[in-house]
Amino acid sequence: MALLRKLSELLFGSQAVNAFNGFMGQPNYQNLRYQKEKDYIAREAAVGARILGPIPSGHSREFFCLDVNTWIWHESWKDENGKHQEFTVNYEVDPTGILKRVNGGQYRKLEGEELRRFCDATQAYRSEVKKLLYSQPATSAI
Amino acid sequence: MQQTLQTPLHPTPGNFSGSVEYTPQTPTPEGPATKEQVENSAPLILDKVQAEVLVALGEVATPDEKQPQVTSEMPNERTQAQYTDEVLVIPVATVEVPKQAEPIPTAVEAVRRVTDNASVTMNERLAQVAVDLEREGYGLAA
Repeated sequence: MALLRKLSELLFGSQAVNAFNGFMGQPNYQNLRYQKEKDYIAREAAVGARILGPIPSGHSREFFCLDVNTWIWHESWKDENGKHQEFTVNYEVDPTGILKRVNGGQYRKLEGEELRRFCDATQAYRSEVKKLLYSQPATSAI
Repeated sequence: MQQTLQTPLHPTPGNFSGSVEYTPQTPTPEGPATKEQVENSAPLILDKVQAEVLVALGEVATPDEKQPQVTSEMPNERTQAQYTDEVLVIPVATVEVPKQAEPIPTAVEAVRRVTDNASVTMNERLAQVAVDLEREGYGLAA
């Protein structure tokens, strides 16, 4: 199948093959790449969750690097009444500093101990993710 | 109202507005995430976050669009009062990170460190995606 695809790309070009596959309901390269990227972010989120300390019983937590400028901390749980609770904290890199926003509210600049803690968390994230997910040597890069 | 960043709290269920003093976290007894836990993880918030924050991966609002509020004043109104910015402070990382009583980073230094950590992680992620696609016969067609 892969050989056929490569042959088709040689004959017709990759864009034409991708377009044809998309028309036939098959995933094209961009869709696959996007899906794989999402999968790896989800795996990173599981690693990142542990970096922030013990996860309270019944909580679901994610902490991940979404892109070069955005980090997300999300947590959800059911309260004593069985009602769903959650919060999302966005950390965004701005030339002036690290901006934090909780549940889509106002941006606030991180300072002091909290800033140091966030920096440490990103450092630990980088290290743990590399160790657990990306430790195999890559043969090519984008 | 002044923020109380000097007394960060550790979030626990139903305790996002209390006055529990922060205590440093001991390493989680569960240890770092296992490969199985990582493999079995599922994205919970990613789609929602992407829908709300990003148009697509890699496309982040520019600083001008963010219009960050870097004032130390708290917002007058909160949509979810119990989850205020000042209590959702990132906990101490429990994995090994260099702890040498470093001074609190400046905003510029923090931006450099966080960006560096994100860039390295992103590069490793994209490289791994490329390797996976190559293995599946898609190569670098795009």
